[in-house]
Order: sequence, then structure tokens, then C-alpha cells
Amino acid sequence: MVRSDIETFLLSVEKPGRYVGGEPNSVVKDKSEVNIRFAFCFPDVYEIGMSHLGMKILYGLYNSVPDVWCERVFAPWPDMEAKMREHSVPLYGLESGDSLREFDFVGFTLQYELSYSNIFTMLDLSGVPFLSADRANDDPLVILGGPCVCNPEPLADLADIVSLGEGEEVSIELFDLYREHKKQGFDRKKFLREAANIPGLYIPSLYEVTYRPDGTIASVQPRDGAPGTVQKRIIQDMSKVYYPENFVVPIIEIVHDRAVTEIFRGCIRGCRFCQAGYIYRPNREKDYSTVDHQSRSLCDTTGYDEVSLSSLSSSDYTELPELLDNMLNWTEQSKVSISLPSLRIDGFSDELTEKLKKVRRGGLTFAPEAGTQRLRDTINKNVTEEEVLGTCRTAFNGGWTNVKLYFMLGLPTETLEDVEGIGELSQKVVDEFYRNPNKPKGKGVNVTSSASTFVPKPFTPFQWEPQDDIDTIHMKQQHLRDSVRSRKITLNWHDADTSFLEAVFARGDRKLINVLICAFHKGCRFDGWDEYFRLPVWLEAFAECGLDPAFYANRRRSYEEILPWDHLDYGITKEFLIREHKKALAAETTPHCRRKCANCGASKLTGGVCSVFKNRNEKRG
Amino acid sequence: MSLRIGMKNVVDIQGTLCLPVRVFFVKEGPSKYMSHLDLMRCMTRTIRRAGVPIWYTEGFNPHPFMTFAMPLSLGTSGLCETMDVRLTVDMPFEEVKSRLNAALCEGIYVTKVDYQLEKATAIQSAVYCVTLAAEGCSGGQLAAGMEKYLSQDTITVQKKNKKKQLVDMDVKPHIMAYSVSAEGECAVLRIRLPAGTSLNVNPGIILKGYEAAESVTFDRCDIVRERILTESGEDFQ
Repeated sequence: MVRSDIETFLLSVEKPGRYVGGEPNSVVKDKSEVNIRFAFCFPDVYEIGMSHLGMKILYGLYNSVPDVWCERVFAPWPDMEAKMREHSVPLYGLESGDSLREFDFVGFTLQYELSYSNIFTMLDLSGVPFLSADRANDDPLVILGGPCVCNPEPLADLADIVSLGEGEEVSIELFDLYREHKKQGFDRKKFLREAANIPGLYIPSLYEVTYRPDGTIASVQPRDGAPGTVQKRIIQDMSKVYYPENFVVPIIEIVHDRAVTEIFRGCIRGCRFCQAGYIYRPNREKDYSTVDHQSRSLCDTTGYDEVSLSSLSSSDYTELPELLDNMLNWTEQSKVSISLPSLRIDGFSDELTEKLKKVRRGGLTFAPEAGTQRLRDTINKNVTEEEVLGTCRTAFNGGWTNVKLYFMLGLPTETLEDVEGIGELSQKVVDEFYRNPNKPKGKGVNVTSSASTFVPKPFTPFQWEPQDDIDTIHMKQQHLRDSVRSRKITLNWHDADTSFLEAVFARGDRKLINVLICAFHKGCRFDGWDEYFRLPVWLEAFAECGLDPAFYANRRRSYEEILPWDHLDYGITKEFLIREHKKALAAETTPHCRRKCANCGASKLTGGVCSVFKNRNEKRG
Repeated sequence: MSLRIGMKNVVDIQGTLCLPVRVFFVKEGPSKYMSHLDLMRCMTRTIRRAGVPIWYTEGFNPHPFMTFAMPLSLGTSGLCETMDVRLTVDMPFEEVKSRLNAALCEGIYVTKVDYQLEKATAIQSAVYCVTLAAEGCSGGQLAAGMEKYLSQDTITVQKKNKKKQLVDMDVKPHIMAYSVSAEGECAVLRIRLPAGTSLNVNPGIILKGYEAAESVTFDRCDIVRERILTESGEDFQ
């Protein structure tokens, strides 16, 4: 419903459709029949948040519980925020138009460190106190989830509850506990103490962190019976877990405007820079028949004519040929196209290539990540130059003239030679095009090489590594530009400043909450958006709080240092990460999970037998 | 049920039998914040959800064939919007209507499905109802001001030309009819303006012109396109 008090100014803001709700499949319930109201907040703009699969899953799941009403909330764009403040309109749920204050739970999903400042905007606009300690008994419970909560410490003082890992089961257990407590007369502290007993729920206020004089952590002490470490939750059987039958279909265009089905969680690869490759372990696949059925049902209920098969690396799905065969049976008839993102360079078999011709591919994009074989071995990318060039050759033969290559600058052990390697590999791809006798006549080739800045992340073998400082990154970017001569190569690079701030919060500790509050008051918003990001303002905030951002971003940690996230257990062990780190420094690779178990520790989450092998054995048997 | 040659208005389009129909609908509430491009996407998906089979364009990237006689500006409501599609099955109009209504988003609903009785080029004018309010102004004062403004011999407003530059134009000769009344805090203007393929005047430019001339800012400015008329002054069918 459209709040009547926003209609007076709605036409003066950009894309008013972001703020009105009323989309097909959005859920409106009768308040009198609801016990638990949940505001699912995405701290970015509508078009980004509405594209996020996790939100669609949990929105559907929560609303499938009769007495739970889950609504969507997004960060208002600064023009809308200004109007809302001018007219004293609180931030509201899109379904009811009610202020966040009226909800039982205010949940934020943390997808990106640079959206943290928006969390403060959203709480401030609805008058919810920033700090858990300042919230009264009847204030909403602020709960955090999403990939970035593997180190939630910068927001630890803001969160009442942090949900680690996959949320489908643990949320329902939390609702059950809350319902009980509400019946008995709700006592916030007592409720939080009991919530700490639910596996996967981390209650930051029950842990006391002390620091050494040098700023590193001296100890993390649980109290009131909270567990010493909190283990993330995972879903055991992807084919049986809840999946929504429909999605809210937006009335304005969003970034990923299509149906999405998950084919698996976790990744078998173990690229050492990739946090997702570690924190979602172990790899668990969904049966192809379930994926097929869910895709079809989603297309029917949403009217979408495109379905995307989502995972961290689509070509690693063991049943991909069977899945595509089944889906092509109905998609061609009903004019639905299938898109298959995240294809690996080495993932093309002849049989698969044949089937993929009928599937929409979002351009030709490869991610060699590093320019030389030595550095690709260090990051465990397990892709050779010959594979990159071979795949490009096939593509050029098929008539493609545009190729995108993704690289990273600032990877551990990187030398200027590795930087030049990016230019050289791009050039070899160009040469490959001209070597092709069947190249399209009268057309040139365009190779777009993008270099982002490496950000060391928790729970990866590079969690101890310093990030290159901004000057070094700028120097390497310049060196890269100088090493590219061909006009067939378009170079893009990512702003080093944003990656620096991302690195600070990725491995930050509880002291950073003050910086976040300070930066919010200084007007920091939408830091992930170039037009709003202002590093000097952030640096002012750090200075005022007496903290040095380089301590977080550019410092090498020792294996012995207590890391801010050490009391959180994502399955993989520190010993494994140390082993991988040492192998990285020696440029040694680790085979992927199906080839050889690297003993990462995640198998304890699936009862001692890793689902990678369980799946394979079942399918063989 | 399939269409057959000889059924009323059935045509053969590139080898497929089709029945061209006109869907009349209301667009208001949250849906008035949907742009024309958004509306086309929304209707495409609605038709798919509703299971109403329509004709798709042929070619490399087939898309559902639909045309809208008079796209609405963002923020304007419409009571007599039309969308032309070609049915590829023999489905009763009432069923098309109820299927679409079950699948549509908040604020859009189908009022009628019919044959395409007239061509879109027959459209000649539209009637708008505008509800206005401004702080510190009663409905009566606002209505009187508007009455005076519209009764001038020439009314100079700014309009964007095709190069997107603002140019002055006298809108007075284009105002085909109007009435102003006061309703409490609000003034209600009902105005008939040229619409269609040859000349189109948006009431927004007159309202902006008034704001500029009188140095006021409307707190409320709801525009509803109430009727779309042909040369004979009858509703477009």
C-alpha cells in the first residue's frame, strides 16, 4: 500500500516505484492474526535488494508460517531520505506502510561491507536505537544474517542476534522461542540468553572482548552460559529444503529481473581469495528433477520468461546435462530462456557445449583472476593459460567477438611481472582471434579486461595477509595501463579507495562501531556507489575515533593472533587455512574436493561424511 | 479452443489465426508510479501468469505483441487505458478479463475486453481531472486563481520540444473545455486537451505554468485521465 503521507512528494524523487509496494505476489496479512512481524531489511536500494535470492527465499519461508508476517524494507535513495526527513515519514515496511518500530524483528542481510552505513540510516529513519544496549524491552530485536556475518564484529554492538550460516531452519526455531516468550511476558535479556542456546545463533552481548595495548584482541569471554564458539547452520538436504513457489514480481525494472533456482550451495574449488568458496562449505547439490520442477513453477507464478540457474560455479553441477535436457523440454515451448552464469573456463565438455547453444549466456566472461601461472597457482585458481586460450578459440570459432576477462590486483605475493601478465594474457586472447581462419569478416575483436582490487577476507587462507595500500594499488594500476598497448583491449579497474574500506570492515573488530556511527552522522550513505563514496570523510571519522584503518586493512597478522571471528565456527578449521596459506606462498595447488579431500573440516557439518562424497556415492550406487 | 477462419474478426497473421482484442483497464494507486516501459513488462508477465495465449512476434527474439494507444505519464492515473493484443485461442472476453484481473498488480484492473472497434488514430482528445492543494491557500482561493489563469487570452507555458529543449508556447488555443470548482482544501480542475497522434498536450505543463506565474507550489497535484475521446466526442472504443 502507498502511505498517503509520501504521495505529496513521491513524484519529486527518482523512481518512485521503489517506495510503493503492491507488487504481484507480495504478501499482505491481517495484523490481528499475526503474532510475529519481521522487517526484512536490505541495506541497499530496491533494485539491488529485490534481485537478491536469499531475501526471496526467507520472505517466502517466513510468510508460509501463518502467524508470521514478513515485509520488505530497502534503503531509501538519498533524495527520498531527504524528503522523508523533511516530512517526518519513518522508514516503513513496503507491505503495511508501518514504521520499523512496530516490528518484532528488524533483520538486516549483510551482503557487502560498504552497505553498513545504510543500516544506520535505516534504523535512524525509524527511530530504532543503534546499539543493542540502548534498546528497551519493547523495541524491535535487530538480527543480522548473510555472508558478511562470518565476521559481524564491527556491528556486534548493534546486533541483538546474529544468525550464522543458512537461515531456513534456525529462523523457524527462533520464531518458536519468541512466540513462547511473548506468551509468558517478554523479557528481552532472558530471551536473548535462551536464544544463545539455539545452534547457529550468536548473541554478541553475551561475549566480552578485551584488547592488548597494541589493539589486537587479548580475549573473548562468553558469559551467562553462552557457548564458547558458535557454529554456523547448514541445510543437510538441498532437495528437501523450503524453496519459494513464487517471487514478488517488481513493478519497476530491477538488476536481476528473472526467476532464479539454486542448483547447489558451497563450491568444490577452493580458490584461495574467495570467501564464498569457504564459508558455504560443504558443497551440496539439489536433485535435477527438483530444480526442473521449481524452475517451472516459478516461471508459471511470476510470468518471467527467463530462469537463471544459480550457484558459485554452474559447470561443476554433476547433473547439468540431465537438468538441461529436462528443462529444454518445456522452456522452448513456453518461450522461456535459461541462463547459466558462473561458468568456469575449464568447464566445457563437447556434450555440454552442444546443449549450451540453446541456453542464453550473458556474454562471454572468464575469470583467470591472475596474469601468470605462478600467481594462479598461488590463488589455487587451477586454470591454465592453454585452457583460457582454448576456450576463447572455441568461442571465436562460434562467432563471438567480445570477451571479458576478470583479474585481481594486489593478490598476495604479486610482483610487477604478474601485473604485466594481465596485459600479456589479454594480448594473447586478441592474437588468438586473428589466428582463427573462420573469424567473422569485417569485425574486430574486443577484449575487456577488468582488474578489481583484492580484499583479504575472514575464513580464507589469505585472512592473515595485508592488503596492498592505496598508493601501491595505484602504482600497479598505472603499471598495468602502461603494459597494455593494443587498442583491442579495453582496461577497467576498480576504485582502490572503496576496496580499502571494504578490507577494513571485512576483518574489523568491535571498536569500529564508533567509526560507523560517526561516519553516518557525517553523512556517509551508499558507500558502494561511486557517486556517494567519500573516503576523506571516512578517514575523518577514523581519526575522530582514534583508530587507524591501516591497522585493519594493511597489517599482516600472525597465525597466533586472536582474530575477531575466531569464536565463530564455519566448519573449516584454522589448521586447514594455515596449510592452504603455506601452500599458497609456495605456489602449490590443492585439487578440488571431488578429486581429493583437502580435509578442510567442513564434513563435521554433515555428520562426518562430506556431502561431496555422499552425493557421488549415492549416484554411483 | 482454437480459432477458426470465418469467426468474427479472426485474421491470419504469418500463418497463425489471431483475434485482435482491446483490453480496457484502470491504472491507479501504486501502479501510477509505473513508467510506460514498466507497464509493458508488467503486462507481459501478467499475461503469462494469467495463461491467456497471445500472439508473439516472429524472429530471433520473440516477444508478446501488444500496443498501447496512449501511454500515460509517470504519476498520472488513468481510468480508460487500452492495450491491444492478439488472442491465439477462442477465449470468452469475460474469461480473459477475469484471468487478467486475478494476475494483475495492485492498482491495475481490467474493466472490459472487446473487439478493436476503432483505430487508435481516431483518438482526438482526453479529459483530465486534476485535484490541487497548496499550503496557505483554501480550495476556493486556488480555484479562483486557476479560473483567472485559464481565462487569459494567451497562456504562455514551457514545453519540451523534440530536442528536449524548453520552448515557450501558447496553450490557450488548445484548451478545448474546462471547469474549476472548490472542494474543501482542494481545487478541482476538469480539462479537455488534445490527445492522439497529431497533437498531444499534457495537463502537467499548464499546472507548471500556473505554479511559475503565481509563485506557488502545489502540495497535492493528482492527475487522473478520465476519458479518451474521438472526434465525435464519444469515448474511444
